[in-house]
Amino acid sequence: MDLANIDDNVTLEQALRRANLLAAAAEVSQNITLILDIDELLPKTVDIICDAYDFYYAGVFLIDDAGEFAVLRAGRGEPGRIMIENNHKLAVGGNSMIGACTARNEARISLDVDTERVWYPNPVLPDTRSEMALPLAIGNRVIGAVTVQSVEAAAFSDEDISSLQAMANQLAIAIENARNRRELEETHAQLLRAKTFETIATATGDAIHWIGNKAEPIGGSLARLREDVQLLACAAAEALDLVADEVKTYPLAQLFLKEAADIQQHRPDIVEKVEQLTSLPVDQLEQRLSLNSIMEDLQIIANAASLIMKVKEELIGPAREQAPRPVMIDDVVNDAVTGSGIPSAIVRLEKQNDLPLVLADPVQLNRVFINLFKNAQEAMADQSQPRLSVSLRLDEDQKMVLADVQDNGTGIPEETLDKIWITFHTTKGVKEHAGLGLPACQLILEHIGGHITVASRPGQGATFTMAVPLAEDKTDGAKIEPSRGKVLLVDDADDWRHFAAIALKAAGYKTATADQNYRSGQFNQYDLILVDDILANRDSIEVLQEIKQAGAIAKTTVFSSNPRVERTKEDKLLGIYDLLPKPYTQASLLNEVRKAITSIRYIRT
Amino acid sequence: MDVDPKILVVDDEENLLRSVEKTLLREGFEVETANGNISAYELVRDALRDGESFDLIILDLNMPDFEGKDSKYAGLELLERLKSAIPDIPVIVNSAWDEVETAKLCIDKGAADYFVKGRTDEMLDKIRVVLNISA
Repeated sequence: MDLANIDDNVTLEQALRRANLLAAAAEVSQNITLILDIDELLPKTVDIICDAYDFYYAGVFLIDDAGEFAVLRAGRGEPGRIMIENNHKLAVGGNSMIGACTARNEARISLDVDTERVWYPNPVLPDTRSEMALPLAIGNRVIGAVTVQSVEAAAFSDEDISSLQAMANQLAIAIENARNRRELEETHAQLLRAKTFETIATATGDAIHWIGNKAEPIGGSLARLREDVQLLACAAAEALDLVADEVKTYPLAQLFLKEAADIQQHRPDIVEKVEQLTSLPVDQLEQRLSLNSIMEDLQIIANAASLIMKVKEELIGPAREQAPRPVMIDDVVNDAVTGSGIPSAIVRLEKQNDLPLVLADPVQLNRVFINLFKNAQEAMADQSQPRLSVSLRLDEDQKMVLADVQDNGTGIPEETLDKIWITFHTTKGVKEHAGLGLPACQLILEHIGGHITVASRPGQGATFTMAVPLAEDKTDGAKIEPSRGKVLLVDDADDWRHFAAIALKAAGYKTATADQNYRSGQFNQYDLILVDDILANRDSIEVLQEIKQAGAIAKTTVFSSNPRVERTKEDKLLGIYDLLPKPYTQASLLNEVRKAITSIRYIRT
Repeated sequence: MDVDPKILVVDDEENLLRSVEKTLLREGFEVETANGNISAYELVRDALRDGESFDLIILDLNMPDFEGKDSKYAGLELLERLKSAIPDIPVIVNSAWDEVETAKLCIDKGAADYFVKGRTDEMLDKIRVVLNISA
């Protein structure tokens, strides 16, 4: 053979091999940079490496916090699993390839393990003929090592080292990034917990103080009432002394005389007071012992009790656990308009097309909007042409949906603008409001990673702007199981009904839609009837009553963006199959529908 | 009705029990009270034995259970036993918790209605509806 030809062959072979290595390196890099979660990254990496390079085994070691041991954190296949279970680790600087490589930040290569000095046979990897250990380093800092093993002897050349090392360097960066990200998430979670705790502690402190203030007058009123009631009884008995003996025999008279006698025994001081009073003229008596005073003290107690109950009702709101999920924010807004009782004629809703789903608890988000709408209504009470406009749009960074709620009411004075967010602050007079609404709204939004702000000028209305984070919906791309059945959707012709109809049809259900004015004796032909709890022009319970008359109530599921206890109970008593939170993703909708149809069929058979 | 309807009120909070009793008495009902699951059950059993009966039972969900342990839904156990022993007597359940899932559970176990504690007017309305009385 010609020498020149041999050289050409070798060069070609080398070139091909190098090209393969580069391609493999590129594949690994590409794949590992997609994985951001450290728990996912390491196991997937060893698979990716073995697949790209056709190695028998790959493992990733990470150096522990003390810097003493390289601990196996991922290993391909069953051998990897066994070693990890046994907490396999190797001393940095010890007598192993990994030990040497991590101590010196140098690759170690063994082309024939039978002859290698520092190679110890690993019982779970009996087929290894050659092995390479590559340091995972960021600059001079070694964070671990990768081991790759082949069933062929002399599987790696020195050239391979540089290409594989380049791949290992990429891996080191990816691991470091993932760890940093994890640390950041934990710090963030810690901060959030601390802040939440602090907020609750502060709110509790405020609440205790506020409730204390409201409860305090009760004591004073009660003391007066006790005395006044006894005084009245004794005074009545005194008055009876002046009437004819015959009258004193009447049961009512007897009652007062008896009560007075009891009081005299226990409270001689009361008797004394009565004697003083009886010498007074009528107008002074009225001041001292009229029923008005008693009624007033009772009212003081009633006010205090009512405020305390209201606070309890409001406090159990934001403190209640939120369950954020993907939600159609415009659907929640529509339901809030209906729920708040604000006349729909004065409301204008503008929304960007194809608004993505947001991540929020629809019940709490509903509360927030209703709160804002009610505040707006009060601010517009004297406005002859009240106008409320709601606009929904994606923000510039595409990470949040912004909702502006704007009214043309009296506006908020500048000195109050900051204070509206403070718990228990209210401008409306203590009797009616505990001032918890807006602080609760803020808490609700911040809890999901959003926020709420306000802009206002006196006389020019107010605009509240909410930012709500987008939902990452990972499930909608999933395959839809083909299904059978006839479903009727009873709802206003809104975006949710549109979404639901499309999803149901895509899954193979024969789907009919009806708005709330639908009149039909044909309810019974359906396998499942879905009814929206909140309908614009009619109470959904009337629809349910019609369905019941048609004999189809047991096949009916009610969806609500804001399930309420009283409505749930009424609907259940009518005999519906179930009342559920309204699903906003294809997957959750189809899941509920499938479960319902299956159960309903089962019940009937 | 010739005879005033007889209502049994069950609640472990003495103050509340007394307050509800007074309210119902003023409305013209006959009232008996029990401050726990066990005493309630015994009262019902004794009434049955004597040939008398309650027309309605109002039951607090949040009481210690039949073993004396605190439980969020101990009243549910009593509800079940009552519906099994005296299925024709309506039971209205109340609870401190304004929760949809609780309401569903109660209706599923046979409650005639459900309301959140402290709402006296609501309670009276529901009693009238269940007993078919006008205000």
